[in-house]
Amino acid sequence: MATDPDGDLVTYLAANIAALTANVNLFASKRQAAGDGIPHLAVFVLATGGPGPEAYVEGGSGDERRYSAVQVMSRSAPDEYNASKTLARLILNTLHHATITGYLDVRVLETEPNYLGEDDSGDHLWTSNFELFHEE
Amino acid sequence: MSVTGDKEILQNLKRAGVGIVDALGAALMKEGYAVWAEGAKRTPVDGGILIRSWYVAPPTGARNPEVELGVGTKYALPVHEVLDAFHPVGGPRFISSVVDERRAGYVKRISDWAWDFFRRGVGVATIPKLAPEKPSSESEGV
Repeated sequence: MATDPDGDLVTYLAANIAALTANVNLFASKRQAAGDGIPHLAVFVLATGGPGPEAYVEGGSGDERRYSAVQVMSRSAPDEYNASKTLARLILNTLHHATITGYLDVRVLETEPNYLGEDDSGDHLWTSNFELFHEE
Repeated sequence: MSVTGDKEILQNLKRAGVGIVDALGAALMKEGYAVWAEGAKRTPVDGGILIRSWYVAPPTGARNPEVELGVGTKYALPVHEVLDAFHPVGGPRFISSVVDERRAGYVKRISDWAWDFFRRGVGVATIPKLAPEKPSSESEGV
């Protein structure tokens, strides 16, 4: 089954976290600047590569395991530190071991979200990184 | 049952005092140095000390050795994680991209190195005394 790791996570998050709506404050893209309809409180999901495929039979051309890496970045306004931390943790817990069609497992790579500090606008940034395990 | 070369192995072990756990620790350090060598090429350089703060710490754990590698600056995390920042040299994911690329065949590679080191009596003690260690917390604010 063809997969679209970052797009699939956006679909799953939109369906499972009430505060997030795809293409409103939840995007399968790199970070977008706040303004012009993009809110400060927003989540950006981006595929970031991952290790090479592993064949079930070494050197074989049959089925293989893949581990797609995806970063989820949460951003919030300067006065929303606590809200952004809560959202980042909610995203982590929602996606870790999530059951998503086309994937055998979703695994978070860190125990807690990474707090990156503030961007140039004073917005708070958090990231969590996930691996999506699937077969092709 | 006999094992060809077992006397030689035992002699080597006796001489060097190297066990398989020690050899495994040395193999993990070799992998760590390989990550460092490639990761340094990808580390952003913009007047700070990030690229000079790389470390591969000697193995810890008497029975299950672990080797930690990384960079020892507080600002390393956003540099590594913010994907849309422009860097004149290097870029984000300068550690994880290397680790990802080296994950294929990792177990066999480490195993082969460990057995080779074990047979030749190479252990952690052969690591140069000047090998960088994990920076102390006092130096992380640099």
